[in-house]
Amino acid sequence: MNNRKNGISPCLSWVRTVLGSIGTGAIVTVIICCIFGGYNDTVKGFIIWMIASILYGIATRLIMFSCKLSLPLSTAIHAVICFAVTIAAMKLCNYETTSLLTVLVPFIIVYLIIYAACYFSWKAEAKRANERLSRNAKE
Amino acid sequence: MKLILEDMELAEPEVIIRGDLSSPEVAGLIARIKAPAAVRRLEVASDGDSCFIDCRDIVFIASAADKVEIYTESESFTSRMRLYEISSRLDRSSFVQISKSTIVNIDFVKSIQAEFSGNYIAFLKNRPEKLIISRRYFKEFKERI
Repeated sequence: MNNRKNGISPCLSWVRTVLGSIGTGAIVTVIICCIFGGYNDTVKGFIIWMIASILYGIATRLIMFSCKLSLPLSTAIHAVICFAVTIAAMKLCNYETTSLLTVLVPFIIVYLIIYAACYFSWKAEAKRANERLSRNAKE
Repeated sequence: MKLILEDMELAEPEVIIRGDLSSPEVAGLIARIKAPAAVRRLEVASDGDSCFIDCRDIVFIASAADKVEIYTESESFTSRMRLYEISSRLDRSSFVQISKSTIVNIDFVKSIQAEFSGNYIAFLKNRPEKLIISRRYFKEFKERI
């Protein structure tokens, strides 16, 4: 039985639904807070981080999904842009930070962890492909 | 997949596909039925002389600058055709494009290895070259093997 509709697995379809709901919910939350609580620092912070999230998404779509640049270079550019957006959002929210390093170091660690996870998933893909190639060779 | 064959006299063969037409499996099947028949031999040039080679002997095809090179297990040839022209004539079940400038015969791919850059390296049977499978083309390569 084919569990995929339009080439998307049910699990991924549900993930998309949840993420879409979170995005929609965030917008509704801001509107409700403004109506009932008025515009305050909390709402301001919420809006700023929502805009930052949109910019992260745009950067990902334009840079990471583009195959014109090599992946390490795209990742570096993506990291720089997202870091700049994060610092700008923190400044606008008036967060107190002693130095940029307190943000930069965790940023680098997160990117390294994600890249390493991606690398291991590519290795797993290669292993699966090699199993199929071996099976095809035996047939 | 259920296969039902009905023997009847018709002016031309009729193919009816029932099911989820948006699924990749059915879309692939429709594409294969619609695809033009692949050629068995390709005209190539070697030392200025024209000849024909059996497509099944082709290991990979690479384009560089303004020429296209065709490699078998023991020889290499050039072709006047462009890569996309050659690609349209080859059997899609055996040949797959793995980068902007390379087409490989899947039957000659021994193994692949993931690179840190997100690309893959393809090791060939009976040829020393290592081909790069671009991450953009890897999905199609994976589906074809």
